[in-house]
Amino acid sequence: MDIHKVIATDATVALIGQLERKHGPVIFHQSGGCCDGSSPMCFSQSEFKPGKHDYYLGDLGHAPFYISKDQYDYWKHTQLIIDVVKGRGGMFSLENPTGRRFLVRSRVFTNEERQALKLKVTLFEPFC
Amino acid sequence: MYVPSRALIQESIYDEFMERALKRVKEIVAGDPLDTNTMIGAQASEEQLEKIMSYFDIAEQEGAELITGGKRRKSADHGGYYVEPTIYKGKNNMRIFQEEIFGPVVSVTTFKTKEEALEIANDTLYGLGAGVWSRDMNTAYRFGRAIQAGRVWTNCYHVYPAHAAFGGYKKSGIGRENHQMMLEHYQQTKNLLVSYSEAPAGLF
Repeated sequence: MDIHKVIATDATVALIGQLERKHGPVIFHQSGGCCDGSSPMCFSQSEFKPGKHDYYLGDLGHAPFYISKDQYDYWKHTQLIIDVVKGRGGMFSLENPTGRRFLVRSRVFTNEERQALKLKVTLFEPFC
Repeated sequence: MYVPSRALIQESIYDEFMERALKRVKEIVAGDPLDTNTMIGAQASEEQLEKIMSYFDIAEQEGAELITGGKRRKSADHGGYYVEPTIYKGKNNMRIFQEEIFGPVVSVTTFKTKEEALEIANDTLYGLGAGVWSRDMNTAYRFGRAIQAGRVWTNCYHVYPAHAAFGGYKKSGIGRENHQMMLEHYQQTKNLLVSYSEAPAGLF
């Protein structure tokens, strides 16, 4: 089973293309959840180097997408869907001046997908 | 997290507590932030609204139980990005528990013992702020010590004295701001080495 841990909407693919034409190859890193976090951050590949604590989720076109390993551990039961909405991006993310903003949507993997990813099939114990 | 994301409630008081809490939620006056009777305004941007909506979506997918809210608030009087005050019940490993949503959204879960409460409280990547509510000051003190957060409010919440150290454990930051200790970091320590001897220096 071919499972994508991260995918892009058509609007995202188009915006990445626009940023690549201006900045060259780009890379994404999912920022953490504190304060204005939980946002996909887009950087020039020449300016951002993923470290050994980052986990590679997949590619959006030519752009690799990383998340820190400990955050992935909390997020791994979901597929990340990178979309674009109106708004101003994070201070350091390349789409900031475009008036549009990358946004993470999520889909909980199906039982079959979780099995294939070797994740627990029962996600949450039933409520008391 | 300074926007409280989770509330851990002792199972034995859960029903009675939530009944009273929900009564208060219903009394929240939402509307124009310039109206002094307003208790909750709108979200700051469309982007933030979209982000909150994306969390509502994932809460539903993860099987969290929606207790109240969970949608945009339609207001005839105001435009703006209003969201209903929202409570979910679920499990601590759900993403709505693990992320700071930055909206009027809280996720509740229950615990049976103090040990379980502490384990849940510390099972997060973050640790900026936390709160403990208890009449038993022994419990309150021990939780204040044991919760891995830069600030633990006890029987209060969101109190921000300017001289209180601000900063988080784990992925909520490095170092602290405010407090006299931190102001000292902005100052130089200078050592003046002065001889008052009238005799020739050194070997002369």
